[in-house]
Amino acid sequence: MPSTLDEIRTALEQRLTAARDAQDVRNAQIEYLGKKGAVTALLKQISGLAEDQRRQFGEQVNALKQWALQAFEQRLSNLTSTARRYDIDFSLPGQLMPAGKKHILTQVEEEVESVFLSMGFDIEEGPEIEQEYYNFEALNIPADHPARDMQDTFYLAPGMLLRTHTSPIQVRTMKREHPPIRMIATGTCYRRDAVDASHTPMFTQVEGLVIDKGITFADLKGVLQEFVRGVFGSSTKVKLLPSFFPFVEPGAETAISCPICGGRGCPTCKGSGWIEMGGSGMVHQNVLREVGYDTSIYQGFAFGWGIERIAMIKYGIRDIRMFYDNDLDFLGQF
Amino acid sequence: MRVKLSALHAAIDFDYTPEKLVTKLGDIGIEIESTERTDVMFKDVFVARITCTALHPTHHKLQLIDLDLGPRGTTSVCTAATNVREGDIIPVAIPGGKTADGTAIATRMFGTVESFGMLCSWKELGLDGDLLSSEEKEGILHLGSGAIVGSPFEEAWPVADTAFEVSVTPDRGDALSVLGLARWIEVLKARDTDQPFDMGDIKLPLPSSLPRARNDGDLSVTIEDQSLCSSYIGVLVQDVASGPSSHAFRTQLYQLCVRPVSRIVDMTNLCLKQYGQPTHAFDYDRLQEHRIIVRTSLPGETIVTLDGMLRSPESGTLIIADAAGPVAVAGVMGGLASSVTAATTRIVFEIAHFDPRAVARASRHLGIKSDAAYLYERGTDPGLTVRAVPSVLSALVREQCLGSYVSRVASAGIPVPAKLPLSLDVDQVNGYLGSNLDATNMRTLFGYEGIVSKVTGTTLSVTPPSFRGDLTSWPEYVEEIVRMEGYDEFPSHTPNLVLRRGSESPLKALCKRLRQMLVGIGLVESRTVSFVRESSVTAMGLPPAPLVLNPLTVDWDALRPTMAVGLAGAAVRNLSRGREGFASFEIGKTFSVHGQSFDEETRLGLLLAGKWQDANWTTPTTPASIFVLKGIIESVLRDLHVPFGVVSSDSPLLENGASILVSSETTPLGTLGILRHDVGALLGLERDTFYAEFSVDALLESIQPISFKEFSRFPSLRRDIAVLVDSSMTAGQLQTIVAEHGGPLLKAIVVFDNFQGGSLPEGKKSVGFSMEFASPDRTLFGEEVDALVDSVEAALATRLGGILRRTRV
Ligand SMILES: [Zn+2]
Repeated sequence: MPSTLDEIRTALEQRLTAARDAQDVRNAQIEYLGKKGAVTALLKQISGLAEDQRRQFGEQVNALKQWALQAFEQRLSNLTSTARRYDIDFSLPGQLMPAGKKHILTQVEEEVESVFLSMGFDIEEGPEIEQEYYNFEALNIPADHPARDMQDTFYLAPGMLLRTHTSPIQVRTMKREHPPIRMIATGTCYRRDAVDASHTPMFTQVEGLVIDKGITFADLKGVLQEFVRGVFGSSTKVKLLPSFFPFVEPGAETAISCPICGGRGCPTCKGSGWIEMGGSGMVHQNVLREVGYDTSIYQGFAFGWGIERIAMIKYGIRDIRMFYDNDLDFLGQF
Repeated sequence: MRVKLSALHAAIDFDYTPEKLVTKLGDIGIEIESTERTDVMFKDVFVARITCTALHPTHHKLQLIDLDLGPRGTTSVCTAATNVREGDIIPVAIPGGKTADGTAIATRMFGTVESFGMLCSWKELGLDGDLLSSEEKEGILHLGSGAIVGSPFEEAWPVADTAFEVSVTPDRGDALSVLGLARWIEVLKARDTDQPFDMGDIKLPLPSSLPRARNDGDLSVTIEDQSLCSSYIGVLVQDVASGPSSHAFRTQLYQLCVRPVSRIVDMTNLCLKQYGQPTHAFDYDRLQEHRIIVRTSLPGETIVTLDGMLRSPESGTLIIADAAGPVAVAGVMGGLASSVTAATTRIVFEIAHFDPRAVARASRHLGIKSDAAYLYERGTDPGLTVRAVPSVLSALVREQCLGSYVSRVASAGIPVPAKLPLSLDVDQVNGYLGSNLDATNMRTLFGYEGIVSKVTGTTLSVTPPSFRGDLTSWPEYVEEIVRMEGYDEFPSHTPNLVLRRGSESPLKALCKRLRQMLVGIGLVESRTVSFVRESSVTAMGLPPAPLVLNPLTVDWDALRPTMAVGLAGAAVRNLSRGREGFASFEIGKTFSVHGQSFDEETRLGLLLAGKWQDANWTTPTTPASIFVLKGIIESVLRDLHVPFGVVSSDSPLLENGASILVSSETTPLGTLGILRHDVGALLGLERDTFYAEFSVDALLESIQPISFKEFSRFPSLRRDIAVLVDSSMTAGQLQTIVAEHGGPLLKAIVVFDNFQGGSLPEGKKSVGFSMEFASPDRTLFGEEVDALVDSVEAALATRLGGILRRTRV
């Protein structure tokens, strides 16, 4: 227990600052001004002092007592006060801040890229004006193959076209590098489709490729599973269905459990609980041979999904044209 | 391909519900895009024969019709229809019944005559108009010979049914027919019951011999190149009777979703749809020397095809010729001169197996897309060509064309090309799939599909059936294993990969960074279509853009040489809808053409129009301006550590005197300015628009490495001055002088005022600078800074004749 006047004053100040509620302040008041309080003890000392000291000391102790009483009252009133210092109308809006926004396709693209970057995939790029060879022949789609009908192509000159998929980037990467290869590529592709709610002549794809020794069909499923968990949430499941793409064998269509209804069935998944997202499969031997890989050593898988499709499913967008209309009412929502 | 459930049931027994069938076929890779169920919506409609017709006594537009309803007796109706005659077999709705649209039928008086029902057209019966001929859709529906009089219409016509729209991938040519789908349904059944595939379960007639013929009449068939046509059978039919198909045949076409044309065409269409085998009918008497030669075309040979077009197939195209020249483009389209007409009495049916690539090449080169070519390209079954279809067709001829007979069958080529077995290693398959199947498992799986396999140790020797032309290499068999085991049954596994960091290109990283910066500043990112209208970019005075040879529309016939067109389009769209401002950027490729070669460059376009910053109670509106745009660019370049300078530019997109070229040392980075008014008008923009376009590649090259510089930890001092100078003097020139005379302690100069007009003399302007002085190692004295400001003022006065307006601390 502090004993000198100064010590008592300092201790009391600290005690009051630390007090959290009115009860605490009252307790402190008893500690200092109660029958056994520190200030009361000083008051009791006054009468025992010599005449010459008594007066000066008495004045000091009484001043301390007065100060203490005021301090208790002040603190008590602070803690219990309902007085308003400000009266602000918080229904008023805050100052306008810059309201920039990345395009929704960019947002989805970056999300997909970050999922794959985190799995150690490189992001590759390639030209949008592509040679017919890289877009078709090297991908096991010879000139007269009916699979070319699947991809109606814009031509710029004989042998030069606008890439119909991001797959030529696979070929370019494989020709440039040696296995192991682990890459994705995102980019704009073009198909000569008449414009409607599900077609635009320009769209965005994400392409993936893994080539190494012993890469299997089961690995494809595992990687796609990680991908959809990363993009659509950890409870999303992957299902493969047979399909045909000339550059893979076996080829598969990838479906995900409908993120909107959780697989119970809704209009988006047409009641099936599954939504088809894109193609995948084991890279065709003809493609590997074309880039000069030894097919008895290396094998792997590839997949290609539409970024628009991912965004449409993720956010329930019904009309693909909206992505290219750039309506601020649309872009501002994401 | 569209087909009805009843046609599948006619081809194979199965008890899957339509929904189950759709799922099961989807699981093995045959996608049913949609199903459409049709129910019997009418009531009490019967097949009747007209026994007598007479004119109504008073209503001259009406006829009185007496009807025989077989076991149901007779009745009579009044009708306004004109296509009814005695002997016709037609549907009639009787009182108490209703039509498909719900109209109730009751006895009705027409003048003094009572009508006990209504003759029906296809609409009253709710039939699918797409599957009816134009004659069938005119007036009252006529049923062909063989419809049973008195039977309920729903028994005479397959009304209640489910139509499937089958979407088939290019490798699944074997599923493009009823027979093909029936085979896949058999596969499903085999898998469900763990039994091997059995062709015997298919109910369609599949005779294995060539049809019998009377052997009169000459017909010769020659194949010049067997690699392009493995077999060709010509079936000569004499005394062909023309006219429509019988009722039974007609309703079968309805189930197959084939619109009837004529007996002959209907038969060829049935072979196509039912068996997946295209056939063609030639007029025998118009084939020179009654010869059929399968050969490649010679240079200069032409043919007028059935559609009346003169075609010049490239030399080497697979054609059918007679002694005189081409009569058909093989597998694509027949010639007009040898086609069947109303006068035809003798027909040669062509049943052949052509090389898919040869047909595809001809179809693409000539730009002809026919049903036959579609099938041939995807591969037809050579076994079926030779074995079943000629006999099926001959039987149909006997059945449908009374009096006709098969007089000769001429064939060439090999019966069925033998398929060589392929060796499959069990470990290799498992190593490819990440599975753990043994040889017996695999043999069982193959067995469901009719693939014959022999097991020797860990090797399987596999031979495909003739209809599986897609199975040529081991990964294709691997796919069959997955298909039969179930794609979804396969294990999922995360690959064991070497741990390493994924990387992206510096350009890609810069694009991401730029987007982040610009969004932070308050711009919205657009993504616009890369196509532009060539005439527009030419009108803007831009260099030629790469042209699209086959554009979707004239508005999109070239690739963008600038980002301006797309951004302007986005601006117009938003401003026209009442938005008061648009501030957007886009990063993407722009394209250029140099002689024969094309080039693409990643560029950043920025466009500001209308309001830059909206107002609210805290802040007034800021209009977009050239200096808002310049500020954005300056801020981005500073943040990127790209040193830059500006000179005036002559960009064709920007107004003269209101545009600058921004460069970093000698590298031009981009331009910014006010969009030329005529360009804006061309793009639909009415107000002042501020536009900048930068090369992202150039920005990337110009980024300087960052190194730390010591900075002052002592308080800085600020001094402001304003100077009155000639209007022609630029702020940059003044700033240079200030910087020169402010000495090394001058840390920053800010232009705080730039004013003209008002009380100022004509031709003069006032420019105000705020200067910040600091020293890295001490606190500055006011006096020394004032001395520096004095020397700046003196320099401005002597060098420029500037008059100091005021000085303040
Ligand atoms: Zn759903």
